[in-house]
Amino acid sequence: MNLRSLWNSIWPPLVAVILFLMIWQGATTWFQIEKWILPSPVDIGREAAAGATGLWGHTLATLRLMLMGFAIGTLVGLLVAFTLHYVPFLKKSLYPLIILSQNVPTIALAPLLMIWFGFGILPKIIVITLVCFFPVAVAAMDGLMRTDRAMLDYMRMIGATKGDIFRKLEVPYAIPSILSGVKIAATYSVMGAVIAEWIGADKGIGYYMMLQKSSFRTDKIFVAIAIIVAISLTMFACVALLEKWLVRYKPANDRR
Amino acid sequence: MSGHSPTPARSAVALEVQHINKTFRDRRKPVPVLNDISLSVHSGEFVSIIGPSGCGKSTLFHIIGGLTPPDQGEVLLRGLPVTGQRGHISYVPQQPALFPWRTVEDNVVLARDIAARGSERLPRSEVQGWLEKAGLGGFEKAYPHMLSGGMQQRASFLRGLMAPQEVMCLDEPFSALDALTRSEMQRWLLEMWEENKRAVLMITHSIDEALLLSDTIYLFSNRPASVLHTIKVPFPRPRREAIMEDPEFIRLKREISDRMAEQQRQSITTGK
Repeated sequence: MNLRSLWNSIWPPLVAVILFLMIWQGATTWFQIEKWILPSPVDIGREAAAGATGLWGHTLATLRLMLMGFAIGTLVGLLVAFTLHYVPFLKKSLYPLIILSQNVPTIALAPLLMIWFGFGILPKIIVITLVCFFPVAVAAMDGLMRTDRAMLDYMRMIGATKGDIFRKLEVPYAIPSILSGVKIAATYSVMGAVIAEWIGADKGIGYYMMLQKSSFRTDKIFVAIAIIVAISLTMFACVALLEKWLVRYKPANDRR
Repeated sequence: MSGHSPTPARSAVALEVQHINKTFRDRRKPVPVLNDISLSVHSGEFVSIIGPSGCGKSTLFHIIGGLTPPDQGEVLLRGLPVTGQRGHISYVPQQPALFPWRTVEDNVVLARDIAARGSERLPRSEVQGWLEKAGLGGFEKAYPHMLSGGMQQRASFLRGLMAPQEVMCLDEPFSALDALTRSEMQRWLLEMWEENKRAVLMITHSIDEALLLSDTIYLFSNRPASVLHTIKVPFPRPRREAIMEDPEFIRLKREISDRMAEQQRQSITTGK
């Protein structure tokens, strides 16, 4: 993608965001909305600049927690997918349960995990793992199942072992699909980390939000939200870049 | 250059298929597919199978490759029974089935690497030499989608040729190509094969292709397939395309197409 087409794909949403912020700013002054109900974008920006140093520590704590949870969750997801793919009986018996398990809201599980595992990092990692593993596992299983028939037939005819087929055909074939799951997991992991910090933590963006909520500092909550969005976008962009590099063999016109 | 063990005496039988029978079950109704198929491929011999479409030739390949067990009969390689065992043949499929994430040079060594069980890797210079012979020089680092259909099929053939197994099975290797590319590929295959003299068993629909390339042609009947007729192709090697105008070539071509047409008629009258 050259600079010009990059610019062409960026400016329409950018204009929309700027317009949105302007209307927001205009509305807060025009209707004289109280700052503790809805602060204006300028107020939020000012607040962010003023409290930047204190927020940095919280951001780092959340980032650390999120990255650990994301890595573990992705690994667990891949492991589950590979195991279920190789043991059809397990897949038949467990796959429906895994899907059912997604109907249990994570936020409802979090307090339980706190009771069982205390207030340390473990229950928080478990919460993030729980939200991350599912999209990865489903995408990976789907990718493995869709392996090209002609290629599979070819590998069998030349006497490739199950291991050969897995390493040389099925996994590389599933990579684009796996990455689409990882992309979703990446953004979920931020949410998982914040929720985990809401329930019980002594640092992190989620903890910071709870603190500001109790003193009705709406502007500071908005700053926290902005940071969460920024982390989410960065995570997504990183995985997208990784995808671009790993799937570089595909012709440009069907990359999307 | 070929890197394979020296070619054994011409008369040695590389692959033998003995009295293969296979019946599939479709909703409890037995569907006989192969009926007492016997054929042999000597080392350094090019053998073709011609038959009506859907006559079960691919099933025969699956049996030779060890994917499908036959109901009766045996597959022998150099006299040893290998029925139901995999990895004894090299294979060129109908679709090139190149792996899109591998570069051309990584694709052509795939079958060899799998057969070699990762013991030793082929030096890049040797791969380079093979690619140049196949007219793929300069495309080592290209991905398959960047190649034309003919080039993809050449890479697919090269992948089979570079595998260490003596017997190569070609499953309608040119059927997906347009007529022009196809005749170009036939010429190329003839040259490549005459240089390397592997034992080849090829399935094809094209009578011209079979006569041009083969030493022996097996004519298959309609389903359930049986060997209708065996033709020894008398033209000397090395062959050039010019033999296609030879009166004997034309006579053989007519003979085969007459027999095929007869099969076609029979299948219509019996309502199959």
